[in-house]
Order: sequence, then structure tokens, then C-alpha cells
Amino acid sequence: MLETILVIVIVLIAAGAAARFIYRSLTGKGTPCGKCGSCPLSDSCSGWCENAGEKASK
Amino acid sequence: MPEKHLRIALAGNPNSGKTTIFNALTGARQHVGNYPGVTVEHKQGTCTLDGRRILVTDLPGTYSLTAHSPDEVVARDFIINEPPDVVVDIVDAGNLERNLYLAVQFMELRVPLVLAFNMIDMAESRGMRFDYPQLEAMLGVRIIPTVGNKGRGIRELLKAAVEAAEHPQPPQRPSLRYGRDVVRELDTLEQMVAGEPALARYPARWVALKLIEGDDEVCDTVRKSAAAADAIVARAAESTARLEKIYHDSTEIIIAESRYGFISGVCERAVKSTVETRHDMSDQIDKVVTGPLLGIPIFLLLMLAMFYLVFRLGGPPMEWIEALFGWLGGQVENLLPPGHLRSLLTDGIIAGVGGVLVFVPNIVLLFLAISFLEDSGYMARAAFIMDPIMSRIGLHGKSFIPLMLGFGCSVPAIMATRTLDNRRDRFVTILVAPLMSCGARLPVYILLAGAFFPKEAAGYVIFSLYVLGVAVAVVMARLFRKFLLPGPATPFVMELPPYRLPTLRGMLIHVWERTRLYVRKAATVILAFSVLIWALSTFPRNAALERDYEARLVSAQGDEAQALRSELLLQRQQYSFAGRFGRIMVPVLQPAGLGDWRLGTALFAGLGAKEVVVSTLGTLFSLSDADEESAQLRTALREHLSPLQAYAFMVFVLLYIPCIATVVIIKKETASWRWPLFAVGYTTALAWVASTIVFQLGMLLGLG
Repeated sequence: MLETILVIVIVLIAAGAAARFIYRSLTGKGTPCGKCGSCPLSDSCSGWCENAGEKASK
Repeated sequence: MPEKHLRIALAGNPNSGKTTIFNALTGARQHVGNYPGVTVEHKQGTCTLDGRRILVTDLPGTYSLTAHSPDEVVARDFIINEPPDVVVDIVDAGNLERNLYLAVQFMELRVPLVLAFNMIDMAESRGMRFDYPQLEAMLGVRIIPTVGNKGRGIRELLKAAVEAAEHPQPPQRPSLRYGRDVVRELDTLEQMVAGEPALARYPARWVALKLIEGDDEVCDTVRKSAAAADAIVARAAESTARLEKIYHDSTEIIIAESRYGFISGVCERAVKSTVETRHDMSDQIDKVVTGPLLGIPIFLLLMLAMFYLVFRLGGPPMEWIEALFGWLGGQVENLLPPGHLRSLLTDGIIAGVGGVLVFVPNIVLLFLAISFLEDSGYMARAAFIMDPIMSRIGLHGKSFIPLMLGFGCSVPAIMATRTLDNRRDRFVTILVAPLMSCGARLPVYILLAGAFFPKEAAGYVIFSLYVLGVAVAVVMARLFRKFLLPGPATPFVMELPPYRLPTLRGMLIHVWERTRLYVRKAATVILAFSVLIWALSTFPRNAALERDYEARLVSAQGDEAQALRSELLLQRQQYSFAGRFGRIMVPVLQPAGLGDWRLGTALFAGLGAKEVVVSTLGTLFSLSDADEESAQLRTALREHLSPLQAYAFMVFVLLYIPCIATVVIIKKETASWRWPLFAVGYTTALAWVASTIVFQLGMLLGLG
């Protein structure tokens, strides 16, 4: 019983994380803003920068 | 009350070392590329000097402040609309005359200015000697010699900038002579503009100059905001016509020539060259590397060597990490009783995330090699070499730079197309950029090439995919240019920066950033997708089927029991959500040899991020493995696919729909959903056609 609950919780968390990732990607929220100085336009940018928008300057 | 930051703007020509100075000042890790056009938006960072907080803005590299391209507009708008306390113009000391052209325009704009004569070591090693007091006197600004990548002169530069910002003295107008006729027209227009309160934030002389130059943006601003707009615009047109009649040339050229004449005079007096510099080392190397005969073979050989090294050198550490995850899976299996939790941990998380993490050594090597080629200046040569080919397809070498960035990630590649002035060139480059094989696809190639081809050949197989990506991009660009976005080609002269020995620190920062993001992605997005894929391929369960196999397993022994267990796992997976979905795609993918439903499911899962293809294959093949000791993914793949199918699969992965982030960035850059949807449609069709041709041709040739 406990095992089943644990598995369900893990799967739900994963589903939430995947949905958030897809939502952020589709709305462009995770795409680089070009301002934080650490990711944009460097080819190290993976396109889902956590700094996007919120932290325009480091 | 929040403390007010001192605001410094870094400006300069492309490839003058601006980003290196920005990094040195702020400690940021902005990527530096030894080719023009890396910075196309302004970025900000902070630093301190003697307790003062300073906000540093890195502007896009521009040759002038005339609004010819989006990056020039970004730089100029920033200076005018959010005036910084001081502009630091980074000047490549080795190319002084060309670089000072921008500096002169800052002087015309009358902003507080400091010049950094950057890469002074290289200029001096080429025999150039600078008379700084005389240069400062003639230009009317402070000049600080710097070597950005070694941190030389950075503190002095910061001090000079702070001083210029805190004690602003309007720079003396450079003793630049536009000629008596031009000055007369300028004086008249300046008076008219000075009487306009709506234009008060612009220096009147500068507006007058821009009106005579015919700058569209400034003309529009005057039309929209000036009370006597009609009179000013009419007078400007009159002045322009008069001057063009006198000089028999366009006013833009007349003014540009005056600026260059002034710069030439300054350099003549204050810069000395002690040695013959025409044939320096860069020229000698370029004779061979960019030559018509050897240019392309050398480029291809370098790429081949890169992928061969990535595969061969990355092999042993990859096997160590693989063994580590194998051991970890074994430990979990020993610790936990059989059940969903154990399956989730071993078949879902360890097989999925571990399947992606084993490629970290290859990612490190790939980006080490790319970073070396970029920072050394070779990538600019690659664009130069490709220029004749690009011209033939209607684009030019400048389009090749964003495409080269696409080897890392399509998102910055598409953003870098902003350096292209022509809309048609830009959109065509955006559409074909996703065809360049990004770093996220490399794990798929390494997995399959390593599983199906001998070690000696695997590097060549991967290389062939990269070449195929470039070739398809070239062909598609030609087609788009001819049928979708026709128009004349834009003339362009490729700038070749001198070769530089890349700094170890710069390369390591680049590699670290890439690796960190790869690992972070594995620990977040790929972990989440692995758990989901596991759940989707485990549930729902068919109770009747379970009961039936349970009953049959009670009486079965040895091999028969093993065979029954394998059969049960297969039946379970086919009954699951993922199995049902995968089987829908089978008829579509069958002609390309991708009839195994797990391949279709992995391709679909890869839409989020391409690495997920590998983690999905890891989970799906691990779940169908009946052995207690989980076999390696490569072994499992070999049991179910042929080398031809594996190659067709890699071709599909190379060409099909770009990841979500890329689709969104195409939408952002083209300001329409039409282009990203077109990109999704055409790449998918292309992937299907190409992989079907590969598979069917291979079958015809008896390779299947």
C-alpha cells in the first residue's frame, strides 16, 4: 500500500514538472531574455533559463 | 532610498573584445566567440569600484550608429533613450582606423566617452606604437590600453570610466572637418532643431547631421514629434540635394569620408608602425586554410577529427559511468523486493537518467573542441570558406555563423540571425538552422553508432550525420530562397579576425556551462520525463492477462519460464498507454524501417528535448528486459534492430521537428506562428522522406 502511494506521488510530481516545462517552453517563459549576462546567445544557453524575466540583471 | 548605480555602457565594433572586457569587469560568464556578431542584444552585469556600485551594459557590436541593422538600432536606442553616465568604446587597437569610426560617432553624439585600446599586446607585437597623449589631445577623450583576456588595464579602465561619469565634461567636438558647404547646412538645420522642445533630448547638431545623412529613424522621429517638422524635413531635403549636387555623391558617403579623413589624419600623426605587417602570422595561415584548393578539405578534416576524438576519447569514461549506473541498479535490485517501486527506480530513473548521463564525457569533449575552434578564430574562416557555396544558394557567409552556432544549440543560433540585415536571408537562415545537428542529438548518435558500428567506424558515422545536416540545410536554403523568399542576394564582405590562442580559462568556462546545463537537464526535465515514460509504459495492467501468465508460470521451468516472462513483459508494454500510442505510429514509420513501436514512442517523447529520446529508449528497452541483471541498453538495442534501421533512426532524429524551445524561439524571432508551424511541418516531412530513402536504398543494396 505504502509502495503504491509512493509511486503515485513520484509520478504525479514528475507529471507536474513535465507539464511546467512544456508550459514554460510553449509560452516562451523559459526562453532566454538576453539580459542576465550568463546565458543568452552564448551557445551554452539551453533555452529554459531560470533567470529569464525575473532577474534581468545579475 | 535605493542606492543609485553608476551606469556604464560598453560599445564597440563586432569582435573588438567587448564581451571579454564585460566578463572581466563584471565576472560574468558571457560566451566569447572569435567572430563578429556574438552579442545581438544588450546584457547587464554589475561591479564595484571603491564602494561604488556600477551597472555595466554590454551593447551589440556595431560598426556605426546609423540604423542599418537591428543590432545597430539596439545600441543607438539604448544610448539615446537610456543615456548611460559614460560610454566605454572598446577599440581593437590593431584595426584602429575602422574602429575609430564608431568612436567619432559617439563624439558627434556628445556622450561622455572613454576609449579602451583593446588587444594592445597584439597590436604592439605587430609593430604598432601609439602616442597616447597626442591621441587623447586630438580626440578629446581618455584612452586606456587594455588586454581583455589577460585582465590588463581593466581596473584603470574602470577608474577612467568612473571619473568621466562623475565629472562629466562634454567631449570637445572632434576637430573633424565636414567641409565648408556641409557645415553651413549643418548650422542652419542645427538652429531649427534646437528650437524644438520635443527634440531636446537629442543633441541638435547630431540630429542635423543625421538628417543630412538621410537616417530614416531620425527623420521619422522629427516628423512625429517636432512642431515645425515639415519645415525641418523640407530644409534637410534641400540641404541634401544641394550637397549632392556639389559633391556628386550621396551625403552619407560625403559624411563618412569626412570621418575617415579625420581618423586617417589622427592615425597618421599618433600611430607608428615599426615593422612590415602585411604578412603576419594570420595571413600566412589563411593562405593555406582559406585557400580555394585546401579550404574545404581542411574544414571537413577538422570536423571529422573532432567527431572521431569525441567518440574515441569519450569511450572509456563513458563505459565507467555506464558501469557505475549498472552497479547502482544492481544495488537497488538487491535492496528492494520486486514491485512497482523497484521497477520505477531501476527501469525508469536509473535506465532513463543514467542513459543520458553516460554521455557527459562526450559532451565535454565536443564543446571543448567547438570552443577551441570558435575562440581561435577558425569558425570565422569556416564561414569565409562556405561563402562561395552560400552565395550560390542565395545566402552569404554571414548566414553560416548562426548555422555554426547551431552545432551547440538551435536557440542561440536562431537569435544570432539578428545580425543579418536582410529579412529574407534572416528567415531562410532561421528555417534551416534546426537542421544543424545540436548537442542534444549527439547522445542519440553515440548510443546507436556505438551499438551498431565498429569502434573505428562509429566516429565516421556520426560525422556523416553532421555533414548530412549541413548538406540538407544548404539544399533547403536554396529551395526556400528560390520559391519561398525570392529576391536578390545581399553583397557582404566577411571579416576575418586574427588568429588567437584560446585561453584555457575561457574554454573551460564554456565547457563547464554546457556540461552543467546538460547535467541539470538530466536531473530535472529528463528525470521527470523518465518517470512519466515509465508510468505510461507500465500502466494500465490487464488483470486477465496477468492471471493467465501467473497460472502458466507456476508449472513452467527453466528456459520455458524465462520465455514466458519475456512474453508477459512484451504483452504488458503493448497493453500500456505508451504501447498503444506507439503502435498507432507503426504504420507511418514502417517504410523508414522504424516499425518497432518503442522507436516511435521515443521520437514523440523527444519533442520536449532531444536527449529524452535516449532516456525513453533506456526505459522502454529496460522494461522489456526479462533478465534479473539488466543488460546494457546498447545490447538490448542490438537484439531488436539492424544497423540500417539504427542509421535510418539517426537520420530521422537529425531532421525531424526541432524541440519545443526552438519552435518557440522561431515564433518570437519571426513574430508569427506561421513560420514555426511551417518549420515543424517541413522538418518532419523531410525526416520521414530522408529516413525512408536511407532504409529502402539500404534494403535494395542488401544492407538490411
